Amino acid sequence: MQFKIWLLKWAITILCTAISHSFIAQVSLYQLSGKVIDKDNGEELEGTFIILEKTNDTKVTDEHGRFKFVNLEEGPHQIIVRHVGCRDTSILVTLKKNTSITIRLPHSAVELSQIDVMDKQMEALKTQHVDELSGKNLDKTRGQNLGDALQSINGVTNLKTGSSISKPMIHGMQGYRVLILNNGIRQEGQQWGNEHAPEIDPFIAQKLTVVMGAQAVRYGSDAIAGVVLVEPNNLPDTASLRSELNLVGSSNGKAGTASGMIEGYFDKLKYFSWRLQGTLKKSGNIKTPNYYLKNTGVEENNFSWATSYHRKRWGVELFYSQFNSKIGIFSGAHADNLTDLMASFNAHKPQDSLANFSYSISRPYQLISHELAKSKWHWHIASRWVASFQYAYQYNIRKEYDKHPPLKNALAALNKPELDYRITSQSGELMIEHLNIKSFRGQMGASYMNQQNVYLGRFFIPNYINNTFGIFAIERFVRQHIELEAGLRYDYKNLKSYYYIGQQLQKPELHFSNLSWNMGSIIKPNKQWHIVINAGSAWRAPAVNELYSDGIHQGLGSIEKGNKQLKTEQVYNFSVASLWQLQNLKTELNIYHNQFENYIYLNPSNQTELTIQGAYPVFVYQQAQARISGIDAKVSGQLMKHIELNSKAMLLRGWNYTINDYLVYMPSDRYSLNAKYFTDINAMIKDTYIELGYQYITKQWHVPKQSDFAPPPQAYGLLNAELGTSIIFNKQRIDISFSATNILNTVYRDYLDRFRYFTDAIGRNYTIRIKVPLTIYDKQ
Amino acid sequence: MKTTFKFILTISMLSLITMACKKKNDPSPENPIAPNNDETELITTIQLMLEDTVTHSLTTYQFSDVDGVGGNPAIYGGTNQSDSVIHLLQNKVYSCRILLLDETKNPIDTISNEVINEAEDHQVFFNALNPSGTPPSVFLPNSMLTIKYMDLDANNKPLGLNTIWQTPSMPMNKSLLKVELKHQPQIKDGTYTPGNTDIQVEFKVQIN
Repeated sequence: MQFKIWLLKWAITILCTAISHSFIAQVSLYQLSGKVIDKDNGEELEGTFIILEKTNDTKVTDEHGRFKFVNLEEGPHQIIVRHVGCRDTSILVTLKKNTSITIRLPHSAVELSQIDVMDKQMEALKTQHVDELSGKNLDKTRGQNLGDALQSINGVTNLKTGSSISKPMIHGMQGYRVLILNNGIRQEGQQWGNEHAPEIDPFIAQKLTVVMGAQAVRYGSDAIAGVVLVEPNNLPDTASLRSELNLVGSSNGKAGTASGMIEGYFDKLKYFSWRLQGTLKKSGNIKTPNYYLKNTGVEENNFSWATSYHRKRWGVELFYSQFNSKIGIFSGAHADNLTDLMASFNAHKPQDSLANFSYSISRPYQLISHELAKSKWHWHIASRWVASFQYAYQYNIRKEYDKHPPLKNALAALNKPELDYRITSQSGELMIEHLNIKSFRGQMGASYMNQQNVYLGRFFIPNYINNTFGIFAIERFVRQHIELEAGLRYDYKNLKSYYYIGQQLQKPELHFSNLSWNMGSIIKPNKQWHIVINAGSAWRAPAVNELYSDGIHQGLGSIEKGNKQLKTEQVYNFSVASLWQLQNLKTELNIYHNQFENYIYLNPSNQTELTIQGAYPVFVYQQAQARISGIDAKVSGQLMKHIELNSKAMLLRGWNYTINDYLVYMPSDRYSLNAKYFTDINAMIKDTYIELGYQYITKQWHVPKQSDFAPPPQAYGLLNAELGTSIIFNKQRIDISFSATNILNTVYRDYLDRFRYFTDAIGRNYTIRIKVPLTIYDKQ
Repeated sequence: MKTTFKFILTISMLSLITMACKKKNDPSPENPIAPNNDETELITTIQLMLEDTVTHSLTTYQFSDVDGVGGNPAIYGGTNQSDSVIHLLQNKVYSCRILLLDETKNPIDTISNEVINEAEDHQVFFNALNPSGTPPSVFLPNSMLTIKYMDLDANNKPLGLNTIWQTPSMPMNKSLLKVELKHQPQIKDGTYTPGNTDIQVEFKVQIN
């Protein structure tokens, strides 16, 4: 029987080959088969992914470690071998006849030093729509902040405060609902403010991944919208010394960024690897098409180091990073009350718009520093079973200086921040993972976090102590045509807050607990088509600002009031993604629906509060039945040999059932089209490309009545271009690119930019990027 | 091998120590800063002290929010005052002194003294009108009230914490009197438009 099928396959292959030969004279089709074995013990490795890079055609090895591709063209094929616990291995096979190869994976040796690779493969739930920025696509965003860099991923938008503060939004959800993992650690800063950007240096990452859809089971119940993974490269595991230098200069803001990295593994110090990385950034006043914006400079200095030590059965990793930034806030984007706000909105030109450039940063500004220290241990407790323990410490200082210094000279001389928050978070996670056991792989674990927040300046949110405990388990079943996944998590959260009402100290304590679950599958009907289906539920306890904040939101002329009655926010989400590839045409479609119970949002109450600075509109946190659903679509194709076309669309609707109206602050529909011509000029000038892109952002028509100070701004389109190449000189590669954004100097304002009440958005900007990867030595 | 391991262990320990070096002496969350002893500046109260220039009888009109924004609502109330209405008599000349207080502090802090110190960056406006003439003055058509600025800054621009109010020779119904202090650092030109609002309180004025 087996033989008959084999014969039939061959007959078909030969027939196909013959037919194709008769039509396309020069192309011969061959078969590539092989076997994957463990280099050390000769074990046949089941469940290894063999990926053809060109077509993304994927095979999974059977129980004898075997795989087979048929109908491959003559010539070179790049093959990626991916096995859980191993680093991806790339092999070049040049086909001239039917070929059989044996791939010896240095399995155990690599496995020991590559625990973090395994984490990455295991960490995110696989049955969710995932998009990532890496390699050239990440290089293009160098010099931008994290939020802006992520914006090139379809489905991700930003809640902005001018051009220097961006808070990533996944499918219209932001803040607490989006989790950012900095090298595997939940980033814990002052997430409650819309003008509080994530405190992460994007240069730490060699890959930015966005997992869309609830990731609650793995990372904690509040990851309702999705997760952003900021992932560095693996530390070297062979004797080598490498470095990389990135230089970025931009015309708008006369911004300069320099980032360097050096990493190594000494021959004499076996099992020990290390990396040092640092970034310096300075930019000045941003220019809109018609004027400069006073006080919009940014200064940043960040550094990180990582070390790891790996033995045969265990390993330890240490990581430390520090992020320091001073961000000037456009001084004209400040309204002390509604009268000021309306005056700003109706002004032809904002207050404090300038004719000249300057680097100086004065009030109002933010001074932020974030420290993260992580240590991770792992043990191979048995064959295919790994246990790991991770401890992380984070300390975040956020100082915000108001536009007005205190009137009292003695107080003003101290130059103290008006808002001063210190948050300390400690988290631990214990996890046990098992690799392929009869097509099953999975992980279970427990996590704990203690968080303390104190304020030293003006009251806006109370001091609090937050304890969170969770346990979870995820199992996956992987076969060639189908993958199934299910996960369950239980969380308990305890929130103790401390604040004064009058002279009376309040000490409310709240308890929350609930289950999160997720089920999904990847179906691969054929090699061109993948369907990813996912359903799950997640929940989020109301945050301290949503419960207790009480005061003026500086600069926006509004009062925000917490609501002590808030209950847990619960979401049920469902998504279907289809990835379809036909030769050079690639399509991606992601349809999602999030059904919320007790969706927490800031609602305008129909009252004003009298203050000594005038009457302020009052916004109160409320809950509603709501939904957010939408479609992300992407079509890309290669036209002829040198032209690539890329188009994207993102459509989203949010609806509040309780008030029967739209949800406020949802991203409007957007479309983009990119055309790229690429070629190799000669052996010295390679990967040369020229790219033209147009992005169109529609007007947000779908806004609730009376929820905003001003109507949403008009639709706009931006034209961008980029030219880049790699120069190879004496084996040394240098990547250079030159880009221009908003080429037409279009005057626009964006609905999701808080500065839209005050000023136009950033104008034309030229950027030059130079990247020099330098291998000082490499024993391999 | 053992020495290597020890070496690495030492490095790791050292690095852990350097990480922990940044000593934090933040207060504990259980003891938040009590509202009356924080170091932030707050203007809780505006007082209009109106004195009849002939009889020297003094009446105070006040708007205060003693616990700042949020918490208890702000209230109007001074001597003989229960609402926002300022009662004046016809054909009179009053002198008006404006006091700004921070009543969360003990003793009460007089913020208006700081405004006087920074007179070049501040100005009080009445009904958003630009003063003109010498001395600079404004005329409020709805109450027929004339307000003269009696204090000037170093650049000879009006300040407005000290004014003279001339009432008309007939009774007038209640009308709006919006008192605003604007912060106009380096941009003060004697007009209402530039700058931001430090104080904006609406009184009503009735002339009997």
